[in-house]
Amino acid sequence: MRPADLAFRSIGELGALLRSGEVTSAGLTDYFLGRLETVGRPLNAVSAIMADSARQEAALADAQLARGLDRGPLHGIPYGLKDIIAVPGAPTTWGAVPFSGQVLNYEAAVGERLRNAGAVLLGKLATVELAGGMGYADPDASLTGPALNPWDTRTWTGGSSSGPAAATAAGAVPFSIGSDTGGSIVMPAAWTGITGLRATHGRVSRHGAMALSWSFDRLGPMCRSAADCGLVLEAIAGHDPRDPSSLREPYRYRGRPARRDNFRIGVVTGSPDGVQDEVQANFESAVAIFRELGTVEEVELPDFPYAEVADIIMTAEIGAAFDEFLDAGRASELTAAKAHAHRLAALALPARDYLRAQRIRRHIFAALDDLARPFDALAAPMLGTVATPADRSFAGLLSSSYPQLVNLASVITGMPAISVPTGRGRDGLPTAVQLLGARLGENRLLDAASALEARTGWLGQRPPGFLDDEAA
Amino acid sequence: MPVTSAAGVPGPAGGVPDPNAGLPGSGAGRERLQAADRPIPAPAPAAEIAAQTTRLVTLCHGAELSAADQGELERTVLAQVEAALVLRRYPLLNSDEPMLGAGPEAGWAL
Repeated sequence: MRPADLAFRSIGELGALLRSGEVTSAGLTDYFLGRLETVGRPLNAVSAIMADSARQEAALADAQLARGLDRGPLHGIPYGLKDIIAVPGAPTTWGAVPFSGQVLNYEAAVGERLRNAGAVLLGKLATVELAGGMGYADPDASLTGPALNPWDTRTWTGGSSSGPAAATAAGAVPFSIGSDTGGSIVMPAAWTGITGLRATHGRVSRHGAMALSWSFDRLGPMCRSAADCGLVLEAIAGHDPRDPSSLREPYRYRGRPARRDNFRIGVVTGSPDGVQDEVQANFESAVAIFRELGTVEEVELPDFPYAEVADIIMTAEIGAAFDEFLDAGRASELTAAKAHAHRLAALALPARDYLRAQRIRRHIFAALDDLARPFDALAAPMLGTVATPADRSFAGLLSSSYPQLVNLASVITGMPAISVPTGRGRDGLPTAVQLLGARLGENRLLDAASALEARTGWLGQRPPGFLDDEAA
Repeated sequence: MPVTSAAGVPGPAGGVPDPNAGLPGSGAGRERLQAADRPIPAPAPAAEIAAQTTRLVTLCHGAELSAADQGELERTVLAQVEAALVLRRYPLLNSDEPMLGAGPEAGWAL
């Protein structure tokens, strides 16, 4: 098998090759370690490559398969973790200069679960500094520089899970784990043409991941298909007593009848207004596909102060999570000029306002749950534009758009959301739809997303110049 | 301890008059003083609140901020004050509890 045939294979395809003996985990690991070095690093997507431990894990995976021990679909499959997730013996820099020497000698739950599932950790992938929590307005707010978008390296990936997005989109890892507080999985997934899943709050333990905003933070898979997201979520989901927010409800992606049609989709009225023409056209094409696959109805997003609620809660929680850091004046060491004083504002946020936001949040949750429950998914464009230049500020681009309000509705309520590519927009860059589901409705979302992917033809598309034979 | 209503007005406590009624510090006293001695001020404009708050934050923080950082802080505080004012216009009942988190402890059974 030519190595170039491996870079963009799905998890299922790589697993089949492993079990047929056509490749070994050691071979896959060496191949993707090379891709991380030659493809990932130039994209500023890599924080640390862990070649020695990866090769040990791969050798173990091969030995286990040889003696008949199969840990499931991720057995022997390489992957990368966003660098806010602790791995013993490796740097965990949180993407920030003040933490560039940090080593956390404990294992995050998500890495532990993936190791138990037989997956092979290749390394840590880049993040916007402190997952963007201190504020930033420029793509270069990262220890590793601006993560470049494989679809056009003059553009940015979006943040804050920028390394996972770039590496997964470029075929430098088969899948990755990102984190999301206000859109940090789904937004870079949209701009890089991959599929990012922000599962129900509490599905995935955050133990060992940098806390930013406790009541919003989520970890989740960033993959090249919805099916891959389902396989990864199944491996990482589950209760963890070390994370009190983690859910007790079990999650299974496999072993159930997957749906391919008869979906009921609610299109959020007005959500495509004001987005780029190509984003709108691709969104309408996606809606047309759903119409052929079932029923589509218009739904109104309930009128709530989504942006204000999200801002107040994040300000209070981020200010608390980083109180010692802020008190010590260390925010001035961060790369983003905006970050130097931005979160000091938390010092002036009355508890009453934080609690008021959380009280309104309960109303939002009740209204959104009522709205979403009858549907397989609520649909809106994920972002109003395609990726923006890597050397320019994106300030003000996202906050005022209607798609961002839909995203915030999911952020605030903890409902699951998935970003699914819809096609190519301006300058050939990817566009995406966000699908929101009711609490614990991941499989309904994933089935709808898979059905959409099968019809758009996106799964066969690759960023130009990122296959080995093209590069040669 | 006098029994007071939610509005701070002394209520019947076994028919015993509140000995502190009318004095500063008790509910009725506060209300009377506010009404009689100084008018309740109208809310300051958000920009004024933000400017004063920014000075306080800078004072509390203790570190010297550059002019640019000071400007960023003031813009952020202003946005925060405006957001809080938006939230205060949203009607809530006294019994509306906060949703502290979206996990299992947060009232998912709604």
